[in-house]
Amino acid sequence: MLTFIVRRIAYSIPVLLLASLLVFVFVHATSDPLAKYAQSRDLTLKARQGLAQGIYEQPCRTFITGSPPQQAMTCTKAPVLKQYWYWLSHFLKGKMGNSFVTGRAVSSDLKSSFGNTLQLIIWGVLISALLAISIGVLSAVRQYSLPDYIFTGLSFVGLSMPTFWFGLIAIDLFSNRLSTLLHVHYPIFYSLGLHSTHARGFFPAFFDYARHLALPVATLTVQIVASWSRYERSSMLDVMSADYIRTATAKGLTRRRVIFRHGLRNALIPLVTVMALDIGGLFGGLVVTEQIFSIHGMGALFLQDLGNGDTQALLPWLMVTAVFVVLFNLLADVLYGVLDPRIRLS
Amino acid sequence: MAQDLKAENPHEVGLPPLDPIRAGEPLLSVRDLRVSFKTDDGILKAVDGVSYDVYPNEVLGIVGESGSGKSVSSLAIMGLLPKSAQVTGEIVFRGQDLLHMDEKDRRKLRGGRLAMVFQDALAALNPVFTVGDQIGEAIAAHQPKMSKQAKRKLTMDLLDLVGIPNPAARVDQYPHEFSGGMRQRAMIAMSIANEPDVLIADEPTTALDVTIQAQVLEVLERIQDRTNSAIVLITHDLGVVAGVADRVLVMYAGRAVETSVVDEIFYHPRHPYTIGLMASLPRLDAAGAREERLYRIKGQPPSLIFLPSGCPFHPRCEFADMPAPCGTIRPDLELVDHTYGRHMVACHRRHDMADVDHSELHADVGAELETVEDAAAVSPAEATALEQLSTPAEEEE
Ligand SMILES: Nc1ncnc2c1ncn2[C@@H]1O[C@H](COP(=O)(O)OP(=O)(O)OP(=O)(O)O)[C@@H](O)[C@H]1O
Ligand code: SF4
Ligand SMILES: [Mg+2]
Repeated sequence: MLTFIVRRIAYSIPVLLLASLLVFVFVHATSDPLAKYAQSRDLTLKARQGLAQGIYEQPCRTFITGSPPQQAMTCTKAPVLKQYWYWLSHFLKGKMGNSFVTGRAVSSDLKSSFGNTLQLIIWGVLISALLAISIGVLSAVRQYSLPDYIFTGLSFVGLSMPTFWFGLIAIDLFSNRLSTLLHVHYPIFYSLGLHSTHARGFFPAFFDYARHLALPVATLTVQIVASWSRYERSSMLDVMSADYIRTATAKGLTRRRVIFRHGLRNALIPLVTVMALDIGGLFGGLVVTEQIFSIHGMGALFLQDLGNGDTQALLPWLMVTAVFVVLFNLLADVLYGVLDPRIRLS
Repeated sequence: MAQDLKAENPHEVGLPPLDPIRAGEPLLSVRDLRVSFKTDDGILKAVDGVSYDVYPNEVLGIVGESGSGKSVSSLAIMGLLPKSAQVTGEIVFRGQDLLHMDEKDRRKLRGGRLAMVFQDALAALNPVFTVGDQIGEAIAAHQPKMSKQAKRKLTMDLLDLVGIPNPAARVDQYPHEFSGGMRQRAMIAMSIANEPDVLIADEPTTALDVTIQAQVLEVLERIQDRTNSAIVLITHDLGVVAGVADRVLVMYAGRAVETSVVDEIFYHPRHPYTIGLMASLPRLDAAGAREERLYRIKGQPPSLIFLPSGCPFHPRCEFADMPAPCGTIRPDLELVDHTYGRHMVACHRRHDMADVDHSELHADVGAELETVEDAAAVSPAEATALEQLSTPAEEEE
């Protein structure tokens, strides 16, 4: 198992290196960092020169020219591969530089955005997994029953509903109308950010946090629970018709034990793999949800950096999300091996 | 006074009240068992009025071609049929009517007093749990108070009993690490974990090669000696039946067509279908055996949805009295011989059939002859008769 994991990690390294090269080349081909660099007048010259390292062969020279006299610069760009190497060697050491636009450290923005997105993902995935497994098992064990039809219908609604639409409807209903209905002057569920500033103490703060999280997490859950529950239903149906389920029943086990120990344990193997793959994509994939609920997460950060043409900030963003996709791919493989002894031992 | 053959297992709790096991009294009685499935084409009668008894300590062989309802009738006894199956009739096990028992009581019997071995052991064992875990679970289901160590010890003893070498290492392996023969033995070990009174073995050796087959059958006999259980052995293979069964039930199209003690079935078969089966056996003792050509039963098994009128075997029967009664009246199982082993046959011409010597069918019906070399080209109907000739490849380590 350990050698399997080590080998699998070793395979991921060239994948990530290739990804970093492509990301770097494409970002540089589509946007000109110099344009933003030159415009950001609020930065000191020193800061600009610091930023410029790696992109330019030499520190830029400034001079005064024209009438009225103005400050101007000349710079010579390094070849792309050289820039890439400079950037990569710093990135690997955790040095991501400063934003071209805000001048803040890229890593600190990234860190806080990542933290916010991570909260959404953790809660969303936890709730979705619980719901999807329960719904999937129930639907499979009582195939063609009323609950099965209801959940099938709901999952199709969930699958076909655009995220922004659900998010906006949720805000309108639970943030606005619910308060009107209850004659209160504050929203029951918030639709902005993750915290209020006024909540003090552990329980009030947690309660406040939950009121902020409820709607964005619900929006995220609706997106993923529909497909996961369908997946779990079909894999459970598959498993429950297997011979070993009949054997388990023939041993005299209770129905519950047959379903949960023998059925669910096997039906989880493919589901866990799919979940891991999906979660990997969520780190950079919550753009719409975060935008609607004004959460400063990875998606919002991406839109901001893209709008600013801030390549210095975009590159690490792209790399971090890529790393998570690859990491969760790896996790999917490892989990498959852990859950299925036939893979583990061969 | 009759003596009880088997003491109750003191660890087994909460069983419904069962009659004591006595010699000469059936352990399991099946009466007019019918199982039907609704299909798109109509109602499929998989089992159509089967009755038989299983006595303590005996091996009852059930034979019949593919689709004759052997598995479905056993699954009905175990209560393992899908909900889509309509089951009627009576299944009485030690005085308890299984079909009218509540599910909880039935579950307590299942895997405890009544156990089943399935045909395809690889598919029948859960791939994600170790063999020892699965056997231990079968024990725990019926003897919940047994300590962990005792359970593990018993599991290893069972593996040893069924002839798995080095049980201490094997117990923690997964089914896919076992060879085909060992899996089947593990399956058997699991089914006998609670020393069942009746063990139904559904083609336990079909997927195995001849030497492993013999070993597995030997395991079954050993188990019977030790646990005094009755075994219902379902098989295509008449050789297996001849070797281990005490009595035989021949099934055709969901019905029992003949039953008696094994020697009667082999030496004095009365039903034309049974006679055909016997005639299709290769006989090495006969003169000129090398040139021997095998008899085959002509035609295909009937559709279970649109059964032929009268005797369901009549379209394939050499001896049919057509049109009446064979084409009009369905024959019931009738006693033909009291003296030796309650020989019962469902055939209108049962009394005429006593004079037919099945060994002469080889020469009689030249048009129906089939050489052994043509085995690859036979239809499914003939495959049954030829089954014992083609040994599926299966390696044992
Ligand atoms: N769940 C089901 N739904 C519909 N028909 C079924 C079902 N299970 C079995 N049957 C049908 O019942 C008939 C009897 O099947 P069964 O499995 O008892 O045959 P068998 O005698 O065991 O044959 P084999 O020797 O091939 O195992 C077959 O025609 C089969 O198609
Ligand atoms: S009843 Fe008639 S058709 Fe049926 S087996 Fe006997 S002789 Fe043949
Ligand atoms: Mg069968």
